[in-house]
Amino acid sequence: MTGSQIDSKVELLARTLAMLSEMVERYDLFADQMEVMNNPEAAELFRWLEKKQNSRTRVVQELSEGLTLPHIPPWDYNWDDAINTEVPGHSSAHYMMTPYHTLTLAMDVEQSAADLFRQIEQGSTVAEVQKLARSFAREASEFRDYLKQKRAAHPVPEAGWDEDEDPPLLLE
Amino acid sequence: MNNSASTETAKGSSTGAPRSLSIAMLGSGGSGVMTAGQQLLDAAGQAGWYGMMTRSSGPQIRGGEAAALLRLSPQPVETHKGRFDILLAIDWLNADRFVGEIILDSNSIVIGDVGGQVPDAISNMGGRYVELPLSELAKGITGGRPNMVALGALAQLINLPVDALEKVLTKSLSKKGEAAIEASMSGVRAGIEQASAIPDIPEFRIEANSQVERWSITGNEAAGLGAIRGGVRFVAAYPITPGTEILEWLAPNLKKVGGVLVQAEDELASINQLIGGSFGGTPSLTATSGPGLALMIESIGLAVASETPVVVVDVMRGGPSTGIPTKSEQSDLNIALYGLHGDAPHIVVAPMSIGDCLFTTQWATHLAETLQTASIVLSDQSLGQTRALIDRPADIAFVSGGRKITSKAEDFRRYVVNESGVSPMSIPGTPGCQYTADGLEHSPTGTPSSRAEDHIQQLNKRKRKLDQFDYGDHWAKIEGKGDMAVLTWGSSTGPVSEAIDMLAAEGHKVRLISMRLLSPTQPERLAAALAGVQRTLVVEQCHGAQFYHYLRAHYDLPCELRSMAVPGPLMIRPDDVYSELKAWEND
Amino acid sequence: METANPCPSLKPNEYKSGTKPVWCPGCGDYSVLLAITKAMSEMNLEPENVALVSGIGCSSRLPAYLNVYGFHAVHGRALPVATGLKVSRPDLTVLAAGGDGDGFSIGGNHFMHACRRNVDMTYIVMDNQVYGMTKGQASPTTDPDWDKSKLTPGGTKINPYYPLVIALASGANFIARASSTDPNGAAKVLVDAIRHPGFSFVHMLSPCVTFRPEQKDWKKMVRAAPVEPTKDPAVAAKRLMTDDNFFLGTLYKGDRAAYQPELKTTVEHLSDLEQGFVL
Ligand SMILES: Cc1ncc(C[n+]2csc(CCOP(=O)(O)OP(=O)(O)O)c2C)c(N)n1
Ligand code: SF4
Ligand SMILES: [Mg+2]
Repeated sequence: MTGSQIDSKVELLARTLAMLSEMVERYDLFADQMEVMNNPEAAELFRWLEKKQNSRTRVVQELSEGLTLPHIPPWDYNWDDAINTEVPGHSSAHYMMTPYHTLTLAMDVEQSAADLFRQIEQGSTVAEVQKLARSFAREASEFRDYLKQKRAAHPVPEAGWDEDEDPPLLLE
Repeated sequence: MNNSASTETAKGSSTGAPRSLSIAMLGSGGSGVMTAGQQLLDAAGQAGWYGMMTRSSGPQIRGGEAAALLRLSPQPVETHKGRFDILLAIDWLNADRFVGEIILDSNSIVIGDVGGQVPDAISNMGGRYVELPLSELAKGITGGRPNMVALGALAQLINLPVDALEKVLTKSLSKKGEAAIEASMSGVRAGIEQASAIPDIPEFRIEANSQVERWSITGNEAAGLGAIRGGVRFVAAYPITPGTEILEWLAPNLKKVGGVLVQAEDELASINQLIGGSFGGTPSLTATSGPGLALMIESIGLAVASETPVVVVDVMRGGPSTGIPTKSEQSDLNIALYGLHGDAPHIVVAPMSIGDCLFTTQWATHLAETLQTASIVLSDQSLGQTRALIDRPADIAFVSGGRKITSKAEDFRRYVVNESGVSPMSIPGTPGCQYTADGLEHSPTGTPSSRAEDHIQQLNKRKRKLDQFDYGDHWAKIEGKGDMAVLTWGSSTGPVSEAIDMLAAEGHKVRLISMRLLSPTQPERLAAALAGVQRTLVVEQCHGAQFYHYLRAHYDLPCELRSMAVPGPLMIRPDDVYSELKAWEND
Repeated sequence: METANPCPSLKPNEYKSGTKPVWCPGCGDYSVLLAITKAMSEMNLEPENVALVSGIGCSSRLPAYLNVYGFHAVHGRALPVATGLKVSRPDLTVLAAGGDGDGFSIGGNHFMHACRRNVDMTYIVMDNQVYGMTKGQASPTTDPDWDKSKLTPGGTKINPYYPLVIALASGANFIARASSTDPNGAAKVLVDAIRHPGFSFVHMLSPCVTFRPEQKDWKKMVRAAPVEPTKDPAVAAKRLMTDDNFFLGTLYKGDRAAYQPELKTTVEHLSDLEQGFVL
């Protein structure tokens, strides 16, 4: 959404919904991955994140009720990569990740979402869009802070947390 | 269940081997002996006879020495005798290479062109030599050729009606025009006239038979037709001798029935293309020979594991490796039975005559489709490339269920474990029944699994579906009674059957058991078929006695056993089997 | 022609089977899976009319994760299976997928011939320049001096295989590169590839975080090719001479007709075929 100016409420809602539902799916995927990789702690956290994100999605869905939202093809999303956390090379999931990592990952996501909505607010000329974007940004920031608080309960992992003494498995 | 006893039929002709005439035509480089041989065979068919013709040739692609080996008879014939009544050579270049394949004795007639030099190896076998001015006569006719003169001479010798020849020539030369037909007929007439000078040999005269519809077909063509009758509509293949003619026949004919043949880049591709075609719901088949089968093996295992029906026709040739591509051998039995890695039950069947290539290929297709597995058909060069005159094969229709589904099914699980072992197979396009076919071991839904429970369940299921199926009488051909038997398979059945007929004519009863179904094994059925038998000769055309060892491994054989395992390239002859049986009888 | 679909009837997620992948977290293949589901959703494909065929490898595990018809074949043979399926069932949308080892090494001959044959399908090769499934050996696309595999101490010292060049030389009708580091961009390429008639080849960069962790940097290295697709093979060939393996987008769109024999019955009875045998 960076760079493109958004001047209609329906477009903002459509993009926000797309973004949120991708987040939900991604947390779901991560939770699945962690279950498969036998990291229940991370799996549980991702499930929790998924639920949280889902309820936010529902809020936006309610806002959209009665409106016809445009369909936005994925290649037009162009939001920050931090949100595409399953993309390799970023703060993606790791099979030995600790709760600290998990929450950091989610904080990054919220941070970039907040940044994104703030940009939209600034770029738009429509008051209704600005207002909505502002509230979305606030929500993301608040959630980020909440995650930070939650993270404080977990120790910062020591160096070498991702060391695995066993070699990878040979499969097919 | 065992109903094999009921298949035992009394031998129709206990009067010995069919009365027949064996004729060899030799010639090199463009002499046209193959064409003339084929025309002689077709004309014999026109006159209501039966017969067969095998081609034999040197390694040259063009211009090499060639022999057309014919056997004609008022009764169906399924094998050559080895001994020839007439040998006609248009020339004698390199003719000694056929010694061993063509056996003559003092009753044979040898016909050569005037001035020709019969090789010692041939004249030493005996036979009465007659010279005919083949090339001189041909020269006197515009467009005349020695092979047509030869054809006329042979027709005269064996009492073949000239109008039968005319019919055949008119049909085969119709594209070349009137003049070509006339030139050929002039040659034929000149040959007839010349041969009239040869004193009449009553044994050579074959009486014309009643006019019934007669087919002229090779085993390879028959296999192609069997495939289409069995429902095959997709073929992918890579050419290889001696299987290529199956593909050559199928390519244009599949097209007519809405199917298609794809020439693949290699056999790895062809077998996998079949798996794709079959996964899409189209019965699929390929034809190959030993080297190609070896390349396909990994993916035949995939067909077995993923329960995707495929049919592979292996037209066997001499092996190992590139071996002897133009000659027959039954030495691919082991790879067909045991070549697959893992426990991979599948179907192996073998046609026992040229005409049977049709039925057996059709049946193999039916079994693959019904049981969702791979069928390997073991034909061979001698069946595949020999042309025979046969009665029109019966129309047989199988009801191939295969449990294919094309409409939404409740609780669809592709590899569900059930009593029959055959689970529903949804065809792509069917909503709600999507699944992933897998060569990895899997659970009933198709999800990859390395759990012991899933493995044993799926192994059992894949074995059970083959073991429980009722193969009926088709599993073998069982003929005759007696306490001596011959166990054989595939193309060895012809010579064995004829040897048994020869013994029968002398009052010795020998039982014939030729197995069409080689896998899964049928121990109960074979035990019943062998009831009362004390001595069994196992006949096969291979050096390693693969069939004999297979029988010893899988069957209880309470009788005394002997192995007659003869490698190619020479055919097993009825005489060889006869002598072996005779010798044992007198032991 | 990557026109937006006004209203996809199924969401990308609805193209997933629900089977949980065995891939390592962070593996590029997750994004490829995502990109495929997005492309299918955008194209409104009905899952039952799509078939995805693969070989063996980490990447080849893909079909089981999708709610379409799938075939997980043996190593290297995805393309022939897909070919047989499409030729006999032209009504289906056929995709083939697999790894660089599967497609360029053991299945290399099929790749060349599939390009030549030009059957209407889309082939996605997830290139991580390594054999992931067998613990990280060099593949045909591995750099000659990559020395992390026990099988090739000191590196392979063999020039890498260049998929786009081979595809172009062999006659593929559509040639593109996409990257799992940009699943949305990859979805766009896939839509285009699937829509294009004939054989479409998509070279999909897809990092192996386990055996090639340095590939996480690919994200920073990929960039859109600064040109439009060409239909002139000579132009495409020229562009490939300056390609560094990280340009993304569609390189070539040919207009060769797809290979698809007509499947039409022209005889009334099977016995018509037998006339040739009757004397
Ligand atoms: C005939 C055969 N040979 C070897 C193997 C072992 N094998 C399985 S996957 C693989 C390589 C996979 O590499 P690639 O195709 O690049 O897939 P990736 O795992 O990297 O996605 C090999 C060699 C096999 N399964 N079958
Ligand atoms: S080993 Fe590499 S390619 Fe395989 S799943 Fe893991 S990251 Fe992906
Ligand atoms: Mg790889």
